[in-house]
Amino acid sequence: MTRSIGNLHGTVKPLLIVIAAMLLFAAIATTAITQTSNDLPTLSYQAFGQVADVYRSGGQAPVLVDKLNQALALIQEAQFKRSQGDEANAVKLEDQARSTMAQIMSEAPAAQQKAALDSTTRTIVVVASIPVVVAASTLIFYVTLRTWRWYERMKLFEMRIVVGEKKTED
Amino acid sequence: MFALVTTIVTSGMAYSILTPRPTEQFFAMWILGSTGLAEHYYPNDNSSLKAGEQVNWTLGVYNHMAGLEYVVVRVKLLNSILTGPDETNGSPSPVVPIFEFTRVLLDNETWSIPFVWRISNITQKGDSVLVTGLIVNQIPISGQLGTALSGFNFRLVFELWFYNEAAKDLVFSWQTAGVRRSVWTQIWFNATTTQQ
Repeated sequence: MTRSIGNLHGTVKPLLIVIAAMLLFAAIATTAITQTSNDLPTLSYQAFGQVADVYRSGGQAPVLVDKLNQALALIQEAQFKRSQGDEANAVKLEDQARSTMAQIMSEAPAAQQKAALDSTTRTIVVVASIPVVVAASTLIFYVTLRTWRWYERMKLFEMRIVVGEKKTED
Repeated sequence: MFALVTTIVTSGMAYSILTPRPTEQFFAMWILGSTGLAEHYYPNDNSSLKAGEQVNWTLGVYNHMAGLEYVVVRVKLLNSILTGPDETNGSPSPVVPIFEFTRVLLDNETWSIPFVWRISNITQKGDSVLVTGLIVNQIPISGQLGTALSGFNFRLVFELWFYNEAAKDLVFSWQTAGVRRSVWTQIWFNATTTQQ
């Protein structure tokens, strides 16, 4: 029993060393993607969610999308600055990104409301216009048919019976 | 009465015909070489790279997911042994990314990403060649980035992740028409320490 525990210790120790080495390697290997302020990804997801809602409501918000992409570029630039040890500029860029995203989130509800209203109006116009188009098409078809019949009748009335003279054969 | 019924029925038919059917949702990703075509991926078309040799690629991402998408391209350096992404399970490579590109894409938008890179530092330890420095788009990346036996069969893996609002996190795969899908691509290269 003691021997088996001893063996277990013998197995576990190298395993722990391997795990520790792997963790250390992972820590070293992530130098490129340096730490960002923890709130920034969450904030960017929230801003994205609100802009996506505008599009889901049937609206368009290219200005907000542009701003969001600018904010994402600022976050990436901040990561680069931090990786170079330029903490002051990294913080500055992150603050800019944060303020851009706050701006997006304050503008998004109005855009979403407008999109919803536009979408409702569009639906009403489409739904209302379909019967109008169908009715108009039917009417045009009916009038055309009547006109054609009238024309045919007129042609019949104008018809003359012409009795041709028989050609005399020599 | 007949006219009214006919109008309603015809309107319904017209509406159902004119309403567009939902199309298949997908992302696409590709890598182009220095000429902007699927060729000349390496200087002199030689995939054995020395430190300092610059490689010019262009990544392309296309969004056809029928909506706005928050997209992240994760770049990972692997060798032939490390586990790559699994298309069947839709699972990404467990390796930590060395670089990321993030952008919000409109529906049907294509995103072109210049990917200019070079190995800045490479060391040999016994039979293994260790890449300890890369420069991607003028951004230095350092650390024990990847190792390969004799420097053969390194690969840069590009994984496409996107934000899933239900999961409240970035995800690697999605379900469409009962099938799990994911998007990733990779390019192999060798790293040599010797000057040729």
